[in-house]
Amino acid sequence: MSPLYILASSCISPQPSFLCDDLRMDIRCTENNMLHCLEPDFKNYINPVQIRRMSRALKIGYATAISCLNQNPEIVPEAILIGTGKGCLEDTEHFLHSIKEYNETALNATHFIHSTYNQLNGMIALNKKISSYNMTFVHRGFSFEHSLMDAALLFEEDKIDTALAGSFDEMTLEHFTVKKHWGYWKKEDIRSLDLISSHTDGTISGEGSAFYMLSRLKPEHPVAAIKHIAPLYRPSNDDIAEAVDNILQIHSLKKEDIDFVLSGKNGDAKYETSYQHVGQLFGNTQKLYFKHLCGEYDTATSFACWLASKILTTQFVPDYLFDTTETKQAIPKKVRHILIYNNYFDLNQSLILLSLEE
Amino acid sequence: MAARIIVSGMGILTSLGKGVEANHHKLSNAIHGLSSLDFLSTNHSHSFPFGEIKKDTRELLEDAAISTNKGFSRTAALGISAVREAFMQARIPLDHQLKIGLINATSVGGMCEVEKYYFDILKTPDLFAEYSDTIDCADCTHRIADHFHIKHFVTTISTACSSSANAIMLGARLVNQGTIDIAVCGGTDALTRFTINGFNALKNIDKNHCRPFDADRNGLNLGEGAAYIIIEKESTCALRSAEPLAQISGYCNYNEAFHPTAPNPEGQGAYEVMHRALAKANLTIDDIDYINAHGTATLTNDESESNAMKRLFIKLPRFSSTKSFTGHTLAAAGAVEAVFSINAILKRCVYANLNFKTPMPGTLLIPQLRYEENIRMQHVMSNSFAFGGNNASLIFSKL
Repeated sequence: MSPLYILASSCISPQPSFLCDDLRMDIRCTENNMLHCLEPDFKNYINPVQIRRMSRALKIGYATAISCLNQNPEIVPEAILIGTGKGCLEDTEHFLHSIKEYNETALNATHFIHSTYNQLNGMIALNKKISSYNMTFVHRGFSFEHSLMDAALLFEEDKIDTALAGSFDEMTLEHFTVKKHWGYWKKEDIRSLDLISSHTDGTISGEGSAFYMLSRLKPEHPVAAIKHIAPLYRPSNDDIAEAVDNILQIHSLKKEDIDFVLSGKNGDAKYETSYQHVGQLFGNTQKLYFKHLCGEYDTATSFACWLASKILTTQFVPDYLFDTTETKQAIPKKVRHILIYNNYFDLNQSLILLSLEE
Repeated sequence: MAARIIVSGMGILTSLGKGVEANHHKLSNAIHGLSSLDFLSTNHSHSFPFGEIKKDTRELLEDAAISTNKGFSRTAALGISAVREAFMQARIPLDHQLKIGLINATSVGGMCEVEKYYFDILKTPDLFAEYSDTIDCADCTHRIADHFHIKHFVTTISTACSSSANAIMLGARLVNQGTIDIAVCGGTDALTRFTINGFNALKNIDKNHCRPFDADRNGLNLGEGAAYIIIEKESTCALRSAEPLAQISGYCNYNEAFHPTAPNPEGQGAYEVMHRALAKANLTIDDIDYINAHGTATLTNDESESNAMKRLFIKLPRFSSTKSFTGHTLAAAGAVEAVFSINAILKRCVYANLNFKTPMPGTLLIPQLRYEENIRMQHVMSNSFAFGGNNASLIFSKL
C-alpha cells in the first residue's frame, strides 16, 4: 500500500493529549471503570451558534479535526475519511427517549440529524468548504483501520496528495450501564492505571477522537508514516501469525526490527490469550500498552496510532506505556518501527505498522 | 489497460417483492409497493404510505433459511435474503474458498429491534442479551458475513442515503486494486420508528404517494429493503462459468459542502458528482441512455437534481425515480437502484416515474412516464445524494 505520511495529528482523549506534542503528559487515573475525555475549550474551535446544538461526541470529534487542519492551514485535504463505531450515541439515545416521551409527535429533528453517522464528515466539509471524496466507516473495531485503508487506496489510484482521516467515539452513562449488565466491564471497580495487569473478566470503557493529516508524498523532514494496515475478521492464531509474517516480508523487516509492539491488551481475561500469542510471536520485543490510558472502545487504535507517531517523531518513550510488572528491555537507540496489535472482542482484530521515515 | 470490473450477480428484496424478477415484474407493470404499515408498530402506520415488506422478521428469517432467530435483526434477515440471490446468480457456492469481501451499508443497522426493546433493555438488560450488539451498524454486517463465510474484508459504510452507492464504489476499487477478488456490495435498511419520526420531524414525508420531479411534489415516502451486487474482474468470473451482467464503468463520491441536510438548489454538487463519474468512465453526456435519479420527491432534492441534470446534459436522456415504487430505502437505495439500473441494461428497458403530472416551472423536465422496452441501453447512470452533502453517482455499462 501507499505509505501514509503523517503531516499533523490531533487527539482528544481521557489524557491531556490535546495540543500535546511530545507525550509528556500528567497521566489521569479513574476508579470507576470509565475513562472520559478531557474536554478542551470548544469555543476556540466551534462557533457559538453551532456549539449549543452539538452533542459531546460531535464537539470532541469536530474540535479534534479542526485543530488537526489548523496545523497546516495552507493544506485543503482532498478527502475526508472518518471511522466511528457508534457515532453520536448521545443523540441516538436522546431521539429514542423523545419518541417515547412525546409519543411520536412534535419531535425536534436536531438529534435525529446528528445521530446519522456521517454527521461529522458533513460538518467538517461544510464549515471548512472541503468539497471532496468523503466517507464514513462504521464497522466497530475496523472503523478507523478502514478509513486509513481508503486513504491509501485513494493515494494509489487517484493521485490525490492529502487526506484528513480520523475517528471519534463516545461513551454515555446510559450505554455504559447497559453494557455493564452484558459483561463488557469489570464487575469490581479498578484503578484505570492497573488495567493491563488485571486478569479478571471485563475491561473498562473509554472514548476519544484522533485525526491525521495524511500525505501521499514524503515531506523533507523526518515523519512518522503508517506503512501497513491489516484488518483481520475473526482470525485464528494462525491467521494472525500469517498476517505478521506478511507485513514483515512486504516491508523487508525482521521481527527484531520491530522496536515496540503497542498492544491493545484490555485487561479482560477473555482476550488475554490472543495478546499473549502475539507477544510470543515477537519474543523479547518490548511491549507497550495504551488501553489503561484511553479505555476500550471501537476506535481505540486511533489513539494508539497517535501515541506511536509521537514516539517515532520525538523519540521519547514515556514510562506510562510500560507494564511495570514485566521485565523492561533496553530502549533502542533509535525507534524506527512500531507495530500496533488490537483485538476488538475477538471479532475485529488489526495490525498497524508505523515507521519513522527520515 | 486495467481489467474491466464487472457485476456477476444481483439480489434484491423490497416492498415490490423478493428477487430481481419479482421487482422487475412490478416495475414493468407500473405496480407500486406502497401501503400503510402492517408489521411495524408506530402511531404513523396509517398517516403515510410506506414501502413495507409484508412479512414479519420470523418469516423473513425462515425465507433466508436461517434456522435460529437468536439476535437476528430484520436488517440482517433482509440482507441475507438478498445476498443469497446474488450468490446464486454469480454461482458462488456457500462453501467457497474465495477471497471475498463484504462491503455493507446501513443507516440505522439493528435499530428496528433495539427500539422495540430499548426501555426494557434499560430496566432488565439480561433478558435482552441476544440483542446486545444490534444497536450499531456492524451487527447486521457480521451476521451476513458469517452466513456466507466471508472474512477477507468485512466493513460497513454509513453515509446516510448514499451509503450503498458508496459501498459499490469501494467494492469496485478494492477489486480493482486487488485487496479482494470478489466484492459483495450493497445495503440493507428496515423501516423503524426512529427514521419515520426523524423524517417526519424534518417535515419531508408526503402523506400521499410521492411524486418525484412533479411541480406539486410534497416529500418522500419511506421504504425498506436490501440489495447487493457481486463485483469482480472478468477473469475470476470466468473461473466459475458465471455470466458477467454489466460493467461498472464509472463512479464518483463528492461532498458538496453546502448545508447539513439540504442540497444546493442550483445543483452544484449533483452536477459535479455526475460530471466526475462520466469522466471516470471516459464517457460523454451523449453516451448516457438512462438516469435512475435520486428523485426523493422532496422539494429541495428534485429541484437540485433537475437543475444539475439540465445543466450537464444539454439533451437530457430518459430519467426516472423508482422511489415512486419502493419508497426511499435509505442506505439500501443506492444498491436497490443499481440493481434496477443493471436490469434496465439487461432487459433494454426503462422504468417509469409514477405519479407525475406537472413539470416544475423552473426546469420543465418530464421524466420517463411509462415502461418501455427494446431501447438502446448502453450506459446507465444511478444517482444517490445524502444528508451532509454526501453525493455519489455510479455508471453501469452494457458488456
